[in-house]
Amino acid sequence: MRLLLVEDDAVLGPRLRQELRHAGYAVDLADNGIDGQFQGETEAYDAAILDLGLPGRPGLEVLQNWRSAGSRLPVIILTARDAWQERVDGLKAGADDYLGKPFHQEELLARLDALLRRAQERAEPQLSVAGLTLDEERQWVQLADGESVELTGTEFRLLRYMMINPGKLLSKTRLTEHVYEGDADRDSNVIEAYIKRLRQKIGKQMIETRRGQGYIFGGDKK
Amino acid sequence: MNSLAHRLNIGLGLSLILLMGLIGWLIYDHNQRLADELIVSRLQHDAEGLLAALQFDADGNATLVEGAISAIYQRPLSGHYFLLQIENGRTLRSRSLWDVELTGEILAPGEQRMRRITGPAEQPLLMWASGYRKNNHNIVITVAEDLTRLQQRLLQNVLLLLVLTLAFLFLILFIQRRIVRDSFGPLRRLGREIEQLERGDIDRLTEAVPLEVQPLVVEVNRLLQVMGRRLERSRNALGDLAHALKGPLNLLTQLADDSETPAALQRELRQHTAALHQQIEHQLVRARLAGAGSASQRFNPAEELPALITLLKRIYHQKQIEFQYHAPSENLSNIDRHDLHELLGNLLDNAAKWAKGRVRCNIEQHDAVHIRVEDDGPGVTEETLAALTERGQRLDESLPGHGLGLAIVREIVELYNGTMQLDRSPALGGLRVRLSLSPKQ
Repeated sequence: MRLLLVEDDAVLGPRLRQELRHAGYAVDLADNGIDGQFQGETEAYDAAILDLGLPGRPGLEVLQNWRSAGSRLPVIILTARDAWQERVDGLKAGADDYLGKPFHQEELLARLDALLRRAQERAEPQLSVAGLTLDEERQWVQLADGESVELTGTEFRLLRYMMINPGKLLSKTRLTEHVYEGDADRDSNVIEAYIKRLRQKIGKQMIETRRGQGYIFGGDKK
Repeated sequence: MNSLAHRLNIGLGLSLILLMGLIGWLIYDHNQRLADELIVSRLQHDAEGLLAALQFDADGNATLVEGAISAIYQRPLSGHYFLLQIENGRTLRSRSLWDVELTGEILAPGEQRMRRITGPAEQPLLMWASGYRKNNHNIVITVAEDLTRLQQRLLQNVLLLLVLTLAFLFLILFIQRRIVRDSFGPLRRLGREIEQLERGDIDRLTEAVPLEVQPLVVEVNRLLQVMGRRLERSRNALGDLAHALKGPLNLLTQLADDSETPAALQRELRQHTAALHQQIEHQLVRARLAGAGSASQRFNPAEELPALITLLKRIYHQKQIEFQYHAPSENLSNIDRHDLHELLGNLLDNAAKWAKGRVRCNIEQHDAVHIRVEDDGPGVTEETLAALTERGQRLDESLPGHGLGLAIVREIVELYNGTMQLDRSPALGGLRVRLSLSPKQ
C-alpha cells in the first residue's frame, strides 16, 4: 500500500512518514501544496493524508483540484483547523475523513485502515484470503495449517497488496507502484526476487505467474 | 399605531374636510348675500314705485294711484307686502297683508334699514324700509318679501355641495391610499429582504430604494459588511492560532506515543498535553462563536446534517451507529452556520460516543429553533441530572466523560438566549438533550 503524505511541518512530516512506514505502508512525502497535487495526479497511490495549511497551495484547493479532475483517491485531511464547520466543509470538498491535530498515531492508523477497507469494499477487519490470514499489526501471515510466518517490510506490503486484489492479474509495474515509494529503485527484477521469497514462505501454488504479463494471487483457490 | 400610512391618511383627510368645509361655507354665505342683494334691489324698486304711486289730495289725505301697484301685493299672504306710514297721517297697507300687522320702522327721510323678520303665516321675510319726503310729508315705506323658497333652494344647494364634497373626499382618500401604498412598496420589499437576510438567503440589501430611506439601507449594508469581515478575520486569525499552537502540541503528543520515550515521561507528557489541548480547544471554540445577530452564513439543516453524520460515522467507524434525523430544508434564521455546526457537532459527537447503536436528531423552526438529540447509551444518573439543573453548574466538571462538548453547547445556547434540558430519552433510553434557541430576543 502506497500513501501520499502532504505535510509541511519539517518535524511532523518525516516523523509521520517514519511511523507510517513502520505500520507497513510505502510513503511519499510532499511538503507543499503544488508538489502534493502534482504527485497525487501522476502517481498511483492507495490513499493520501493531506494537511490543510500548506505553503504554495491550500490543502482544500489541492483536494478540490483532484476531485474536479475525476480522481477518487481516498483522502484523510489532517489539520489543526478542526472546527466542526471546517470538518464538514472538508468533507464536502471531497475528503473521505477528517482528523484534527493533535492526534494519536493509533487513531490515524485506525482511520487509515478503515478508509482503505471502505475503498476496497471490505467489511471484515482481518485480511483473510485463500486460506491465508494477514496480521497487519505484527506483519505476520498465518498459513492454512495454522503456522505463522514473519514477513519483512517489502514482503508484507507485496503480500497485502496481492491479498487485497485476489484473482486479478497484477503486472510487475503495478506491484512496483503500490509497494515501493516514489524515490525507490524500481527494478522489476527486484519484484521477481520478492515474489520468489514470498512463494517460499506461503507456498508456491499461491502465486501464479503469467509470463510477460504478471502474477495472479490465489486465483484458482477457494 | 405608529404607521406612516395611517398618519398620512388622517392628515390628508382632516385637511380635506377643513378645506371643503371652508369652501362650502364661503359659497353658502356668498349665495345668501347675492340673493339678499337681488331681493333688496327689487324691494327698493317696488318702494320707489309705491312712492311714485302715492298721491295727496287737497286735504292732505294720501292715496295710491289705482293700477300702479303690482297684483302680487293684492293677493292675500302672497309673500309680498308693503306698509306706507305717513307722518301725522294714515298708514297704507298692502292687501296681501290681510289682517296681519306689520310693524313699521321709524325712519327719517333718507334713512334706510334692512332686517329679517317673521311675517304672516310664520313666513320668513326680508324687510327693507326707507324714509322719504314727498309733498312736505315724511313717509316711511316698508317692503318685505317671503324668503321660504329662496332658503329652500339655498339649502338644496348646500346639501348638493355637501354630497359632492363627501364623494370627492372619499375619492381623494382612495387615490391617496393607492399613492401611499405604491410609495411604500419599496419599504415592504425592504422588509421582505430583511427576512431573507435573517435566513441568509442574501447577504446585503438592495440599494435601489427611495431617496428618503437610502442612507439607512446603505448604512445597514456597510455594517453588515464590517461585521461579516470582522468575524471572518477573527475566525481566520483564530484558525491560524490553532494551527500555530497545535503543531507543537501534536509533536508533543507524538513524542508521548513514541515507544522510545521512557514510560514515566510518557505519562507526564500525556497528562500535560491533554490538559493543554483541552484548554486551547475550549478557548478557541469560544472565541470563534459569533452569537445571535451576526451577519454571516446561515445553517441549512437538510444540507449540512448528512455531511455531519458522515463525519461522525467516520469518527466512530468501529461502531455501527444508525443516525436518524428530521430537519427542515430551509435555512435557520439568525443563527450563524459555524455556531450551529459547533453545537450539533458536539451534541451528536457526544451522543455517538455513548450510543450503543442509535442516535436521533430532530430540528424544528417556529418562533424559536428547537433541537432534540437523543441516544440509546447509558444516559446519566438522576443525581447528575439534578446537579445539572442547578444554576451555574459547569457541565465539564459535573458530567465526567461528557466533557467539553456539552460545556460548549451550553455556551452557544446562552449566546442565543436559549434553554437547555437534559433527561432520559423515553424512546431510546439514553441521554436526551433538548434545546431551544431564540436568536431574535
